[in-house]
Amino acid sequence: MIIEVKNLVKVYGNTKALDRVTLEVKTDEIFAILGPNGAGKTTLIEILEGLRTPTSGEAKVLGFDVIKDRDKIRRKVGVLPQDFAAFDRLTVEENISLFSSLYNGLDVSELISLVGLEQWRKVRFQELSGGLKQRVGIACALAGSPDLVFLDEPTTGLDPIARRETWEVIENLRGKTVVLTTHYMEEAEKLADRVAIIVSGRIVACDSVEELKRKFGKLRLVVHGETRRELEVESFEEIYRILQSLDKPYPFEIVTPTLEEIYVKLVS
Amino acid sequence: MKAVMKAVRIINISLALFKGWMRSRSGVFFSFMFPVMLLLIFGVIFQGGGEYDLYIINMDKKNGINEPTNLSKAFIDALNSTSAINVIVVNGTPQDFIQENSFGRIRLLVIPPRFEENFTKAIAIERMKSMFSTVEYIIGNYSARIPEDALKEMEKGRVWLERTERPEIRLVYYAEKDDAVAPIIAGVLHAFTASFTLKGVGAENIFQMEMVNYRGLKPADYYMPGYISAFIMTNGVIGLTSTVSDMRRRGIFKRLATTPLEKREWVAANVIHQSLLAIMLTFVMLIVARLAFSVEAFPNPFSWLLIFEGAVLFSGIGMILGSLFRDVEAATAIANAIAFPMMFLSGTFWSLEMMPEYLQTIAKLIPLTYFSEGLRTAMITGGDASFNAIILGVLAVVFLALGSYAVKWYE
Ligand SMILES: Nc1ncnc2c1ncn2[C@@H]1O[C@H](COP(=O)(O)OP(=O)(O)O)[C@@H](O)[C@H]1O
Ligand SMILES: [Mg+2]
Repeated sequence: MIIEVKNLVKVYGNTKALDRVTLEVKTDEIFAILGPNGAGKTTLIEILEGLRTPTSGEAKVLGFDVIKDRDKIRRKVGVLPQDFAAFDRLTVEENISLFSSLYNGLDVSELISLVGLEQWRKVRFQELSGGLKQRVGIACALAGSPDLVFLDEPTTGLDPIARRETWEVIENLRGKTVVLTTHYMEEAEKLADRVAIIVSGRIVACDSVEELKRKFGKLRLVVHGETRRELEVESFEEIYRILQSLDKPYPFEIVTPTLEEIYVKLVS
Repeated sequence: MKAVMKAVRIINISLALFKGWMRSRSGVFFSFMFPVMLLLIFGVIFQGGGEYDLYIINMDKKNGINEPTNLSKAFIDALNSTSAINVIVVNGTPQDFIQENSFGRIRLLVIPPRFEENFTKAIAIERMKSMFSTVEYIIGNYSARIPEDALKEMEKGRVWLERTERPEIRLVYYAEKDDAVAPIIAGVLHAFTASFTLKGVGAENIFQMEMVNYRGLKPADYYMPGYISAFIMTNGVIGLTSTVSDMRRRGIFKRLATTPLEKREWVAANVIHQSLLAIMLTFVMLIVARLAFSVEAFPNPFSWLLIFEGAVLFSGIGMILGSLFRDVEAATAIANAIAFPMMFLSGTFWSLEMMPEYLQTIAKLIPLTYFSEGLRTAMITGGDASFNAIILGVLAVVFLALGSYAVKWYE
């Protein structure tokens, strides 16, 4: 386990931003923390990065304690903070090279081609679009060639095309452990091996997408007879039985659950 | 190896800060262009383009006709030919003239009636006195060989000389009470009349005179160290405050915190950046002051020490303010509210002696006072500024420590 979290609590005044969060992240997987705004995603991920101090509970990252060994963690992980910003008046190349020099890290050209920013090398950060800025952020996160990368809402605020391009960049990170937060089901479903759904500071579900669907989603059978009938079913055998019992061979559909349905159900 | 990496990180962050600053037009404007403009404007306003206007009323007229005497005319011409003063001769009485021009900053010299007569007489007496000292020497040593009559005549002459009073020539110089330039002109006049008299007594031709060219302190000499210190202050208190609070708000801070960069290194990088700005500002001001006002001062090592201490001190204040306020507008507003009164109350723009007593007391509580005063002493007047250096040094250490404490690398 690259990350182990046990009963983590973070309280801000009257707000319980995290309420007894327990989870584990396996080495080399892409792990998504999915939840609506204000659910506690940033609070959780920044505690794991060593940037915030939890109120109680325990968390270990790369085997280091997030409070006692926060300096070791900060040096070893790659981070893309929510709303990433770099030095506005420095160019893409200058920014990436600065971050790389802080780690004595990877070669700048290598990082630039890793995120496909070759064309924008000499452009100032402030002149980039949101998607390109995120790519600079990912390059900076990779500068120290970390084994563990945190991405806090990597695609929020991007247009659909930029979002898909960013997904591609994240897909290419396979081989490293990636922890990302998002409020897009689509994103979790597309990228993540496992998903933790967080609502009001509590983890309400944590599993692979298939398992989540199996556990929380119902199969549905829609039969287009004299009238349209929609039935919730437990298994394919049940579908078979229902279809056999029909008086005529009416057209029908089998609807598999989406993560979205599960998410909406869990969140509400 | 570790130390090398540390140094590399500090240098790279300082360079990034410096590059970002160089590329920001408002940063460059407020750090360099603005102080240069102020120096030029105030230097010129108080200097009057290199020559000071001096109005003269000449009351020494030739007998019966309304025409100036030869000697008074020569005096005025000679005064006009000095490089420091531009003479404008006017008529009327001094009282009327001042009343009519009370809104202008008038400096007026009045040449009294019988200037020529008295001057000539005074010179004659001075010459006879020096002659008589020779005569007395002769009498003292050789009186036995001098005929009685001659001795009597000599004695008569000595008594006459004793009884005759040397006429006094009173030049009256009118200047406004708080005119910073008036003493400078008074100095020039003093040197000029001294040389005029000397020539009158010692040389055959008193109209051929030579003026000693000396350079007194000009307003620019006063303003230059003041502006250097004031803008090192604003670079730290206003510039760094807004940079720090902006970087915090935008999360650049957080991002830097999740790298091997340590908080101490970040603080050091900011101090280096601010010191670099301070050095550049000093050179720009020196060059402008030299080209525009021929200010010849150059900072000695002691001045550089003060400049460095100032840069550290005000970086500390900037880091404190930037860390306290996450909202950039609020941070900048507070920074302005601190920086501007500090600038106006510390003798940067005008001499502290001109301010009321209670403001002078307040000025003593302001760090910038010690900075600009010390720099003026070390750079221009050449006195001992070690007291200022000690105060600044202590404040620099204290505020740097508070600033480092205020910067939060994690929450
Ligand atoms: N620094 C803070 N001070 C006070 N409350 C905070 C702070 N950070 C987060 N919160 C609160 O904690 C909750 C979770 O916030 P956050 O972790 O940012 O959520 P998310 O990233 O999922 O949108 C919110 O109610 C938020 O208002
Ligand atoms: Mg968030």
